[in-house]
Amino acid sequence: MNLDTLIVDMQSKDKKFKNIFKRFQVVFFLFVILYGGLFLVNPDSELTLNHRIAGVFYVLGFSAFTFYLRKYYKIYNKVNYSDPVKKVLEDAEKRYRKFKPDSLIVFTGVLFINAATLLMTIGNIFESRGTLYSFLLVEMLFLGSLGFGLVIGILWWRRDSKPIWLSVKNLLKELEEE
Amino acid sequence: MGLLNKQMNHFIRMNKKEDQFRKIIVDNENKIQGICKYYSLNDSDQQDMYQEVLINIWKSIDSFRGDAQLSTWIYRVAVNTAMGFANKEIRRQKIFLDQKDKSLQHLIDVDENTSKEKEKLFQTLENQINQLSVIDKIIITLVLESVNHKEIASVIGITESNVRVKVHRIKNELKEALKSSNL
Repeated sequence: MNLDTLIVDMQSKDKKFKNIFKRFQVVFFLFVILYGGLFLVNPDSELTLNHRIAGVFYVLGFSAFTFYLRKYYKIYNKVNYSDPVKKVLEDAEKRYRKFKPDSLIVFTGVLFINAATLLMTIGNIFESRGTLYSFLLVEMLFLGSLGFGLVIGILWWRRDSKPIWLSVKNLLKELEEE
Repeated sequence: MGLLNKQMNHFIRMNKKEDQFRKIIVDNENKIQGICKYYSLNDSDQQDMYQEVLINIWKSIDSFRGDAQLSTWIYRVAVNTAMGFANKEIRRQKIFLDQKDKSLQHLIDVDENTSKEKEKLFQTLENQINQLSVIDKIIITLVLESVNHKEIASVIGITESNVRVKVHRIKNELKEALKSSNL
């Protein structure tokens, strides 16, 4: 086996992977700048208090996504083959769980975006129909999408991750036994 | 200037990593090959696994801080790679033994006078090892590689006494199986 070729190949893969994550982070960060600029810094007198608060929520929402991506990159990059088998299995058990604590960051981000969208729409395009109507419509759309995403996520987990999660749990149980 | 310094530092770091990687591979080639042979049926599979272990050594090299022996560190990477513990699938690895391997004496008493039955003994032993659980298979390959209990404990992340109990149980199981096969 040619060690030089292997090293070059691995270095290029490291770089490629790092770049992909960097680009995603940049995209979300650009959203933070864009929404911050449009709703918070923008001196336009037509922007109401609702718009300003919505801007804060958009910035918080996209910041949460950027933070999650950063955290995910660090975790993914840290998959360590040199840890003891038990530690690798414990980490895998956490990684393949149905609901991970990290998901709360994404969920918080989604809630911020939801709140921002609500503030933007209430008293705006649905003015004639009343606040309650627009609130219900926006929430129905949001919760519907969230619910749909959740169902897809659970089905995906059951197909892809559940078998490995169960195997890992069994292996950990076996390790505990004498 | 700042960017140039950053790039220079990155370049130096990469070269250091490359040198460290080369040294680890050259010094530990036999250990890596030793573990790979149990998980590969032929030379081609063995080379594939060897390469996979090298890739994972590269990925993990930044985390080596000397708190474990280098050999322990290498065994951890090799075992975790072989079993796919950090991947998206845990491999139901089959263990392949080499009949000529003297390390088999770590498991059974190979009597020189029973050469006729050696083949059968070997086959039964290999079958029995493949009936073992994933963790027991890892332990057995390390025992065959003459890794001591303390190091096995460090590779797996359990106590030395737990390893001793497990090794004792596995050896008894194998002996019982061979006995019941009249070997």
